[in-house]
Amino acid sequence: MDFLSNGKKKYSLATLQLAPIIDVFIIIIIFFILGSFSNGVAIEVPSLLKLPTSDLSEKVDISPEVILFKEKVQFKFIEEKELAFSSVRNNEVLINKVKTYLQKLDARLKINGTSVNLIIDEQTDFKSVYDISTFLRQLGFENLSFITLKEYRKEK
Amino acid sequence: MEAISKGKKAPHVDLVPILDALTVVIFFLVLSVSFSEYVKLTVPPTQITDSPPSTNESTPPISPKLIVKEVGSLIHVGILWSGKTPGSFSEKIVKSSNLNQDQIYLTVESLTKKFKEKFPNENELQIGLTADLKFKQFITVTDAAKKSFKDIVMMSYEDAERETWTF
Repeated sequence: MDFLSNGKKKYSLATLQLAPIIDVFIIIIIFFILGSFSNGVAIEVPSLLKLPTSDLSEKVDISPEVILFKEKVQFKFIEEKELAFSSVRNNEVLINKVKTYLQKLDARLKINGTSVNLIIDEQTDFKSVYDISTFLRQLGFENLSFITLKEYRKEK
Repeated sequence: MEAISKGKKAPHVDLVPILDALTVVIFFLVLSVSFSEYVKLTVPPTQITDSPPSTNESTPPISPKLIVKEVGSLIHVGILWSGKTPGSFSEKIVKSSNLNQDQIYLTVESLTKKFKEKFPNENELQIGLTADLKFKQFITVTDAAKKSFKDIVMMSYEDAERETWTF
């Protein structure tokens, strides 16, 4: 700025702006921290739903999600509201929506069979788990993936 | 510019303390978040198995089944098989309010190991629980069975209730 005041041309030293560098580095650090904990697939689990734990190591893939919690079922991929589980088998509108969704599904996602991620509360009885599994199979989903929380089991 | 020529400093925001505070806030947020790792248990279509059949056509298939039943205050865990020499291994667990999932896990693990010692080439197992047992018990049972079996097939609760063996 001096060169403006006295009319002489002075060269100022080139300085490195630290503030944007620090900003960018902070974002990169956060990105790496989050990346090391998750495999990039975000699963939205209702706050009151408790997933069972398992020491399996199969990573979760991006697939349509179905939530079963307290006798209510939600087909998140077609944005259906929560439905009473006992009535879904006779819900023709729902069945047609799911079938249309499956027909339109990208062929790349069907290579190893159409998959669905099942998010089920740990206290759900096995009857409901089995019934929703058979219902989804009938609709056309071939691979059922039960989502669980990773638990590192101690060897005994 | 006038301010500079007169020797006055232009008002500026001091970034250093702001960045210091933000870094502390970020660390606080990152440390207070609970990270959960999700894994999945895939149940493949029943008609597809990855493993080759363990028996040839002349011998009847072994078709092992792992059944978990709730009978009164007990949980019966049994592994049954058919084939040339049908049989079963079973154990009982006392059902209590503080029933640990590890107890079920260890029981299934020991039963499946015992079965694999007898039939090392068998890679497919059907798992069935009675209707009232919980999803977390199904996951624990499957978790333990997956250590010894490559393919897990889910059996219906009706079939599981029909299965009987000598306790």
